[in-house]
Amino acid sequence: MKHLFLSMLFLLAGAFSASAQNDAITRFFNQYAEDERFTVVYIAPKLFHLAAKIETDDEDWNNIREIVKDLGGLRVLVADSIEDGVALYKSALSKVPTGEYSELLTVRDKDEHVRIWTKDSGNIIEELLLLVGKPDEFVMLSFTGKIDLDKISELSKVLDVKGADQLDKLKSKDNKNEEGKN
Amino acid sequence: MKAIQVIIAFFLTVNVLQAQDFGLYWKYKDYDGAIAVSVPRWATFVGSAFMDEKSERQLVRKIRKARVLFFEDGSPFSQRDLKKFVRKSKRRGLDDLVTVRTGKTQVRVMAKSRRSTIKKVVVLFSSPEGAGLVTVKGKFRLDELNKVIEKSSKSKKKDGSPSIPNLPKVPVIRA
Repeated sequence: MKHLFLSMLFLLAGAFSASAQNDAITRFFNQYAEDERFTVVYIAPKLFHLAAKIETDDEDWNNIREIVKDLGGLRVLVADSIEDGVALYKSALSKVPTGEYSELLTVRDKDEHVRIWTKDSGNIIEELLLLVGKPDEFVMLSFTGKIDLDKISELSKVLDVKGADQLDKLKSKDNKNEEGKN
Repeated sequence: MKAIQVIIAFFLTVNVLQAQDFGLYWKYKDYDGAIAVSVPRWATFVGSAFMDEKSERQLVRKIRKARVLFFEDGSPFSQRDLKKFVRKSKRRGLDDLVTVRTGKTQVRVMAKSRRSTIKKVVVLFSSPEGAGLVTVKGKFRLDELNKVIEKSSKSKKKDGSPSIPNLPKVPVIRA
């Protein structure tokens, strides 16, 4: 009885801490959702599901369909005319639950900071978080769902969102890894 | 007795119609500067006759009712009413598809769907330049949408323009 009670307590504690970690990112989005310096975009899973059901003979569309069919949602927070882009980047960075996310890519080029994290469950990537910080620019982009890293960079061509081009770095990283192996 | 029945039926109909737009259209349609258009089914049917493409014509004929409410100078919608509208919409089965806010401009697209059929689409936008609400009710099957997309992508490909429909373009704020 005691064991059962303790294991239930642990389960509940685990569930609460997981939701609290997730909430940190959501809270950050919500904090700036009404701030007029930022552009906020939210694409609901429903739109991806509906888009995935649209079948045509068009090859380009079918490629995109393959990518979006497993996507759960997309949230974007962008600002390109701010003075404290790097400070915001650092603030967002401190809120990322590092225990839950694994770092995939880090780039620092002069004043430009780029970081990409993923949240995995076994072999499946459940969330991809992109952070870009420049002195006058800040981008936070979060994809959820089943994410294929090879294909997600393709979305940057379709998404006309500032900072989404940073996803191309994933592709170049993979290419470099493959070249290194050869 | 018959008069009472007619009155009851009238009030019931009015309530049902108001429920379709969750109050926002009916509250603001008589405001100063409002352009309110309600397109009944027969009008879309007649209008579709002038369309060249068969697939587009068929899709337009699926519209049961369309309502447009537009304000040219600013947004008269109060935050309270907008929140109430969204709350009511969600309660009646509409889901958010896309939400975009840039500066003082906000766009929200919601839809009600069942399996592979879209039953209602609501677009709500507000900005300092204008605001509006568009609701389209009908039964749009995704395979019918496929046909229209396919047709338009083929015609666009002939022009050399890209066929992939762009996801929402995010305008960037200029300080």
